[in-house]
Amino acid sequence: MPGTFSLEIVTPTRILFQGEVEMLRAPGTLGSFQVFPGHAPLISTLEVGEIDIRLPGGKERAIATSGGFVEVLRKGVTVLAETAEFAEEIDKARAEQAVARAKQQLEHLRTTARVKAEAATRQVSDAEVEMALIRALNRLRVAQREH
Amino acid sequence: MPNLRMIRRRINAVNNIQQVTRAMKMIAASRMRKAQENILVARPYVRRLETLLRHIASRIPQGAHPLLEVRPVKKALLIVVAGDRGLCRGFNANAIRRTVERYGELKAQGVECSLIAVGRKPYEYFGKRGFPIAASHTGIFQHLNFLDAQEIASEATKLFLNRDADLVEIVYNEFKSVIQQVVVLERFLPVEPIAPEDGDMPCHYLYEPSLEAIWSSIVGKFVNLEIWRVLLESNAAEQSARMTAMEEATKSAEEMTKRLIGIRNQVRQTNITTELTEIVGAANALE
Repeated sequence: MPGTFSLEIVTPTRILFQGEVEMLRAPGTLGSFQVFPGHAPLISTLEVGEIDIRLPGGKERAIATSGGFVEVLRKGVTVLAETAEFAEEIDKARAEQAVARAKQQLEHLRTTARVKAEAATRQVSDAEVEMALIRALNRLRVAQREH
Repeated sequence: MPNLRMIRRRINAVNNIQQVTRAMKMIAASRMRKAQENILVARPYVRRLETLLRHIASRIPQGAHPLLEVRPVKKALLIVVAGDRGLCRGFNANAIRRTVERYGELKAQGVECSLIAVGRKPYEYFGKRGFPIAASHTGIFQHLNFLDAQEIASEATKLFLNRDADLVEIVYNEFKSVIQQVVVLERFLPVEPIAPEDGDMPCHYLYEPSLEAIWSSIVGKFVNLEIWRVLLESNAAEQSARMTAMEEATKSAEEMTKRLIGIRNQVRQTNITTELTEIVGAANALE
């Protein structure tokens, strides 16, 4: 008989979720981990990935995040995410566009990178575009998982 | 006896001013709504990040991170955040007064003090009076940008890390409600540790990947976000202060118009009475 614990998922633009859950699964830097009621206090950084929560009654919801922090205390769990959105909120068409755009940008950067002078003056780095691509792919993946 | 034409002119002038203040009130109101929304959504996140940071800070040894280091205070830095423009009651004046007060206190303790001025008003005030200004940012509230917050944060942390400041404090107007702004003074650096409330019994955290990795990634975010929150706070406070100020101005313009109209009617009446008496007098004389 699973108990529940209180969970808050907060981003800089809103409080995404606040309430009791039975389980939290989060993409920790050292790998995905799960939190059940009575988990030992923990602080972890999060990577780009998927957060899953199980509501009382067993319904699961998927959330796409682009990283952040988790603090597990005895009184409850706080997730501080840079961005977070429920799978059903993600606009799939736009997510696909974002993936395409990031891929194209990356391709463009790679082909022009041979010109050294240009590489030095470039505003966006490969790493940034790559991160954008990873984030976009993640959103798309989470969005598709739901349906 | 006031001249009728003069009174009419004054009524017109007051009406014109009222139109301006009313327009300014509307502009401030719409900006305030936006600013209020911004601060209300940002506040929970930053506050929680702050709690998390302080929890961690309370568990890592003193001096484990340069931004935690408590040194004897010989030099201090005050960041004063106010506005670019006036017409907002005590908004600028209060922040400036609090800063001057704190400056005096620190001076009295033999602490060397410098300032970072955010907003044209404090910049002009302290610049004119020859206060040592380490950096200034003006005109950033028109379009608040996270990059501005980053820049201010990096200036402050740099001064702290170079030991040009052993203490960094920040003075700003906190947005309490539309009709209430409160000037607050908070310590920015070094970061003040707070132990988690939860722990009557010592709770041992697990850190993933490691305490140091978490710490450095969180500290970097926090200093930027904290300044960002302060800018949003101050901006919301400024807009609401201006809205109230303009509302009051509009009201007093209205009252003044009423009073002037009263005087005008009186004068007009007296004029008519005088004229009538003159006509009657003249008619009588002719008979």
